[in-house]
Amino acid sequence: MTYFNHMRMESDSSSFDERIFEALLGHSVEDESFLTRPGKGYSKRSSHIQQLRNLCRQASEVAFDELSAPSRKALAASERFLNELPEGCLELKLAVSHSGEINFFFGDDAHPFQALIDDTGLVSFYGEVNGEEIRGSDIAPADFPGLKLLKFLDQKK
Amino acid sequence: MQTSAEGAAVDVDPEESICRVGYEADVAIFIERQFPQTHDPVTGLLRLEEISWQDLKKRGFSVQMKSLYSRASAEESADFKNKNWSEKLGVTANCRVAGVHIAGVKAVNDIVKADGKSAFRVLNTRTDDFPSHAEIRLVDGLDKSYFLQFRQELRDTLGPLRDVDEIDR
Repeated sequence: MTYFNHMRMESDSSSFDERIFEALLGHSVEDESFLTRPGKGYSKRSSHIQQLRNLCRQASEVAFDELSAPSRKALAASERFLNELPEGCLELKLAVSHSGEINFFFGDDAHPFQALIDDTGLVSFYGEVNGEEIRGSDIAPADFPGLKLLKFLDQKK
Repeated sequence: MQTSAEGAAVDVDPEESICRVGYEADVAIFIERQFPQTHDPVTGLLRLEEISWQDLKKRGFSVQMKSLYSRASAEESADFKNKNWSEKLGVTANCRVAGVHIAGVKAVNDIVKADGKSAFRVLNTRTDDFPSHAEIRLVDGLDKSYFLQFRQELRDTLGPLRDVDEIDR
């Protein structure tokens, strides 16, 4: 019995959504070769973290007048947020607001799923698809519902 | 006009229009050197990250009352940005006006919460130095997830960039 078949037996098979699981893993559940190589999302994740650090550094260099750089807490929370995202959620855009808030945009530009981390280091988010809203405010990055975001992106396809 | 909760500020007349100037430059200078323009170059819409929580809750999201503003004032503001960046950052950005986002105050007031009440207030914050200045603020009692929802609606209401001459029409 494979690891995943075992997991499927342990889970409620009637509600198990294989597509979600595959998106979390970033590959087919039949493909177990990933056990001997780095995950596909590794380079994307590290690239986002690099970009985030660059944006924060740039922001701190030009912080004057009404401009503020992201706080250390916001940067640390954003790195944690990126590290905990499911692999199927790594197509995203990052942007820093002039007041130091860190924005994450997923999906299409017209109606994206938005997440925001401000100087409190907490995550707020909002997305709407097919009349269903996904929202939350001021939660710890570890509590961000990555599966709901994955479902949102899946429904947008 | 009603007396506002924000000190002496009052609501802008719903018949007024407000505008937000869009800028572009030769180098990535906007929102702390991420982009060479304040708008999305594909859609022409204001970038969502231009509308921050701090702005909508504390500082006020700056706009201009269209009837009191002019193209000349918009161009002066671009010159001011060039001077500021040159002095403080040593950057020659060649910032200029790319166009203007315009909305009726009534349209902004029509962005409503589940209870049917406006999510925003548009406040007259004019001063002697800035006689057309106004601010948009999120009303009290909305958490950040609602801010994210309503800033998207505000961006769409302000619409894509229009010709800067629209300010004077």
